[in-house]
Amino acid sequence: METRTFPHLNRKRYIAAVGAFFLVLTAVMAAAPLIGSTRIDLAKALSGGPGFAENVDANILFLIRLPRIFMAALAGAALAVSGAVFQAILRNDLAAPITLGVSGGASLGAVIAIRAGFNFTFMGFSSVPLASFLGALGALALVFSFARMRGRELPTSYLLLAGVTVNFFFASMVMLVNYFSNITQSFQIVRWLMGGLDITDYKTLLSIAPPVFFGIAVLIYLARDLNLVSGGVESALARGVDVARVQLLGLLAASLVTGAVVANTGPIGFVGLIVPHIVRLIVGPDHRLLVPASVFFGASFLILCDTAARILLAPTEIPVGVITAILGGPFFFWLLRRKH
Amino acid sequence: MNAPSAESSVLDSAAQTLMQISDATFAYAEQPVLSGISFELRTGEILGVIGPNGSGKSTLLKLMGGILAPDSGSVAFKGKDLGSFKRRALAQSVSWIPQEHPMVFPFKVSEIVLMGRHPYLSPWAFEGEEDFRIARQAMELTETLQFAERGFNEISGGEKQRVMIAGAIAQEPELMLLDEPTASLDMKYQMEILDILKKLNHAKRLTLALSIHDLHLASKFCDRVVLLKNGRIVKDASPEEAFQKEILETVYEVKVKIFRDHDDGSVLISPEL
Repeated sequence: METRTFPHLNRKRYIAAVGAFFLVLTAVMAAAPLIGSTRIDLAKALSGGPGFAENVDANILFLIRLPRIFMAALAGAALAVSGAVFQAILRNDLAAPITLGVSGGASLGAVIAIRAGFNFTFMGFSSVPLASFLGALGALALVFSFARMRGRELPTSYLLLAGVTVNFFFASMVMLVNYFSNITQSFQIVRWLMGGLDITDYKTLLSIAPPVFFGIAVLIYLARDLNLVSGGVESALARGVDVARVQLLGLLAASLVTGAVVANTGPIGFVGLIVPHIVRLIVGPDHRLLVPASVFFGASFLILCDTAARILLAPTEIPVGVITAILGGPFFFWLLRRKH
Repeated sequence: MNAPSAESSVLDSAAQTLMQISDATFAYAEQPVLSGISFELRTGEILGVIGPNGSGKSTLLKLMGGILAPDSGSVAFKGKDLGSFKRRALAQSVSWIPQEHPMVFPFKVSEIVLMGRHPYLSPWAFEGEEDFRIARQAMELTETLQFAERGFNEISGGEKQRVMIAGAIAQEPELMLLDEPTASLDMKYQMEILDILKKLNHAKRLTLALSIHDLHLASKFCDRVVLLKNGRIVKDASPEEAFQKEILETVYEVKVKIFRDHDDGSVLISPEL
């Protein structure tokens, strides 16, 4: 029986598309460690000879570049996938951690934890990421309650206004906390706010990876539901989607991954806005492809941005957030123009 | 599958109760929209929900589709309260099509139709051959297959409406609810939509409930109409019986003249200026 009259997603196409994005990430991750202000000899770095401490090449590769690249991969994946999910749930393609104030909320949470000198762990999370996650959730709750207040469909202008307001409010609170901090804490806060991937070790990576992977798994699980939710709450209900559950799980998971990352890297803007758009142009709007492809492409994108940040003005480094903002600002204006 | 309601055992199978709405009330915030709504929908009939703007037509259809839950009273499908259905299970029996279809993301027509298969798929599953066959049939029936690959946002209003109907058909429902399916369409598109619905009603014995503004179309198309005013049912009867001068003048608050079309017994209603 001839039924294939229109192209459609199946397991084969899924594996091909997601696999292609995974291969891109693999290539980027293989190439990036070899690029930098100091040339390293790969053969020498990998020659597990005696004395790791004396092997400069191995030191640069394993202690400086690789952890930083892993950090960029985690952060890029997390920010991109949460951008894609925020856009679906709020039905607005300008939604992203930065435009919703989620990054701002995460920043405030982290800064408060640093200022208060919190030092505890809860369910394996240390205090700063935990506070950051709560801050991200708080910001989202604010924007979302505003969105609810305005009725079913939230116009772009309201959403952005709410996001900007929340972001500005949190930025001011961060300043306030900073003002009442002593010089050591203040330095710590400012250093953190500048964002960056350079102060990373494997222990930090191991603490970020589980919540990020867990959140991504939840979002991949929700992918087909997100297709329907992105077309409207009521029509999704009519098609059998438990919308409240999808919204709750989706926003929790997206905040979890954003919070986990932002707590360690500081705010890095625009990844969550740019990446889902580019990926959508390539694979289309189906979240079954969009979500995993955004994970891999977001990781690749931030590694590339960070590599540029390391080499453009070498030996000086540009904070990676500056690079993403230079790309993201004009991109945002282009999107805004195209919409109206 | 479900226990038959008390009434259906008495009535013959042609007039089985599909949905029973009993004393349903609904309010948005503090604004009452529907009060004391009771009627029943029988298998295979076409019910028109008629009334002026703001009379509660859309809200009533949403209550019937389980999109909204009544504040008091009940809505039951085949004798079982809608609130006790799992979303997925309800979507396999009842479909609902909104009046407008805002789509932010560039989904293709075929993808929109396939979304109708959602209630039959487990979270990790992809659509299978059976799903494609059903979606394709739905597109053939609604004559949307020829633009299956177009972007949903690139097609006309009438085409969108047909695509949404195709998606609802793919749900394989027993009851289809449509909120003003002919609104803002020209005559040709209106007839296309109503022809498709009539076909579905005949071929699949699909029960239909739709809100519709055009009283002439309603009298041609519906077996029965429910007239709403300020959230209450004014009349529940056949179109001929319900579209009487006094009743319509009360409901719409305008003077009307009624003409009868002797060919098919439908009525033409014209406001008196």
